Amino acid sequence: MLRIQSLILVAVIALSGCGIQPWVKPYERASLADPIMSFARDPVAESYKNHVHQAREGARGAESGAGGGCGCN
Amino acid sequence: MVQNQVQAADVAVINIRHWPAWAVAILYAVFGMSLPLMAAILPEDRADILYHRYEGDQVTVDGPSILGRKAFGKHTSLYANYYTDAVSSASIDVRTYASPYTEDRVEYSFGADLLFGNTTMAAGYTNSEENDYSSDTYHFGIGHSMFGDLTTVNLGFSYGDDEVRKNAYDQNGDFIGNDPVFGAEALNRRNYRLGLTQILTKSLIVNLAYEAVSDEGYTQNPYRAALVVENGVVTPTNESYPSTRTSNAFALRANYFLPYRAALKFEYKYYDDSWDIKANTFKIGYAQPFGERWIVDFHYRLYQQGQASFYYDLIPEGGEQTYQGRDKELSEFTSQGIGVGVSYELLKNGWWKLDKGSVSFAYERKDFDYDNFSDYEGLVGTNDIQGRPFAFSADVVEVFFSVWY
Repeated sequence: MLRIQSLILVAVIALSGCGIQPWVKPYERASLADPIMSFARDPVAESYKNHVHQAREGARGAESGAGGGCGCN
Repeated sequence: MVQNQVQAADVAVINIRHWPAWAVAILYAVFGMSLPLMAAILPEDRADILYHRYEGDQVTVDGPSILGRKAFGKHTSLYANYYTDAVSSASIDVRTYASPYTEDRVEYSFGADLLFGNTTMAAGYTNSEENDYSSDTYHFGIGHSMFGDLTTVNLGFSYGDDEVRKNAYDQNGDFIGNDPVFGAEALNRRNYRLGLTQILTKSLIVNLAYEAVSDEGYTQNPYRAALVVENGVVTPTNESYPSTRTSNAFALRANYFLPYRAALKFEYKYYDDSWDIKANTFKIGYAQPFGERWIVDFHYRLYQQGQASFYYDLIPEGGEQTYQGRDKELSEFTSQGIGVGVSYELLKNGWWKLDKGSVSFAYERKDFDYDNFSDYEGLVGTNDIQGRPFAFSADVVEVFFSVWY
């Protein structure tokens, strides 16, 4: 029963999420659209930096630029 | 075309940023969806020519990278990249039990991004060739903006198909072809990526990224050896790696816009894998424009990792294992990097078919300090089993020229 209630709660939250109003309006995003705020301002340089790290460190994945998209410019 | 729209839109945003809120609200209500920050967009039309150089531990790697991207219509953007590494190596591995070598790696990538409303789709292909390694990678991705573009979610998948060979050299050390006894070994790679970018306030944006990587096949290096004590003497022996490796990486990034037009950047990444390597990466950065043409960046990066379960600096007498390796990237070590970048904008008012251009320079000083990888140069074949502590510094330089059109 608790599980069903939890699922309903999650579903309600998820569905109501579709109606979320943006709390930062588009006209308030000028600062976020500034090139200095980019996660990967120069793709060619970012790609090279990731390559330098991949070649010399054990860790890999989730580099900057991955999963990007800022929705702000 | 799309780029022009984006730029025009950016100008509109910048121009209204100091207007009273009520005036902006009316403007937004009237123009609604035609304002710029309401939909996913294609990447910018731009071309970059980069020269890169890495120098450290008697290894020099340099070469160009050329990247071009162009939109066709409102829904499609294509890109192509040519990248080379010219490697000249007398690294600690080479100095310990092999001969210095030179080699080239050439990489081609091309792909497309498609835009449909608030959704972008991407597909790409990368080929990388060395005389002892061939790699083909296929990339796919999808991104979607939601909640008035406050949130962007990305999913990605890559499949890689690699072939590992071993070079043969004559008595003079000249390359004569691939070793027929070694033949060719296969390595398959799969990458699964999940990303979420969230606008939190009008000055703060964060990115969460997760990536799982799964390797299956020949995961080791055909040239490298482990070291074992045999009859009291330091002796090279074969490495043996597990044929699978699965890793998880989680990253959190946050960029904060400072009121006087500067950006403060933070990054943390946690990594672990099925070889028991655990790593943490911290990075802080600061970007400061000067006037309308200059941008100066500073960063500090700290990387720390623990060793793989089958890593041995020196295998004790009679202690050889099913899996054993001596790659220093599998050891416990710390790497620190401090960097500066300078970018100068050219052609501010455009020229010919170009909207603008820039020339950029970046330099990073990196220090690698190994906790349990020792320097055995000159000690192989001797009974001196105490290696020397090992550390080195590297210089990383990038110079690139970019144009937008």
